[in-house]
Amino acid sequence: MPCNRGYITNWNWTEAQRPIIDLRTVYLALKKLGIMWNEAPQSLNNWHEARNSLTSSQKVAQRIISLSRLANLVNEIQTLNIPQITLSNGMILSWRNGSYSIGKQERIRSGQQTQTGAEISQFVTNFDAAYASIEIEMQNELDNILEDIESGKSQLAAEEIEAHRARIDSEKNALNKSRQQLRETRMKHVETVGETLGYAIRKQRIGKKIKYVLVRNP
Amino acid sequence: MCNVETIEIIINEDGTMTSDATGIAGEICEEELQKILGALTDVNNAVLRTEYHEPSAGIKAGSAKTHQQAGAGD
Repeated sequence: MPCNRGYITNWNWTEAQRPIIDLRTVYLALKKLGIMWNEAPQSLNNWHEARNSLTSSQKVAQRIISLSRLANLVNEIQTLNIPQITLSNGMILSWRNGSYSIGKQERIRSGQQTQTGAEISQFVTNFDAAYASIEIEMQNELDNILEDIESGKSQLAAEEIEAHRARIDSEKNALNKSRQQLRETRMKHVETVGETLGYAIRKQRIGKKIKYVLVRNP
Repeated sequence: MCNVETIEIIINEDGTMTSDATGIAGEICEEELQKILGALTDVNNAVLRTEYHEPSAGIKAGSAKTHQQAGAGD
């Protein structure tokens, strides 16, 4: 057995610029970067397949089935509990306090500088850009469908409109739920830690934002 | 007279956060934000206000640091 003396195993973690909260966006962002999600959940693979199979050349009945399947898969993905995502480039996405952090394990001699810091930082930048563009792309896709339905431009049958709306609702609800969870986790954290550190805490709602004012006399 | 330490934290609709501190000297301010927000976000990526780099401002008016996670929907 090799001797490990003098080495330490270390985890380097970096936060992405924006909170990584949505598994579907993660999945597509990784695809965009050409990086594999090792052992991705089957429901995500199915969702991706169902999403790609949606075409205007499908017969209406087939499209309605695909849309319903898509909505169900989004709901199913929302129930997944995935604390860790392992990537083919050795990076790990780890669920911490309502969102994923990106990290990589490294083995260095004690006292030695980190070898992976720059690599993680570069990946986080790339991933963040991919995640942001997929987020916008997905949002635009739903908005365009909705706009076409509401303007009457799409000229769809009532049943198909209903299926489209169900799919859009499931996607928007999933994202809202994840954001809500993130906000609640962060609110609870600020309140708990602020109180522990001896701050008087005032909470204020400004539109859709929550403002905390922590005050302490040193 | 003691300076009152004040930290404002805004949690946006999408979960991103911004924070703003007054009455806390530069490095201590950073430590304090690290204690409060470190488990949630990377405080080291904070955008520093100019006051942070001015020692006199830190003493007289209270130094300040703004931490902002990019993408915050302000």
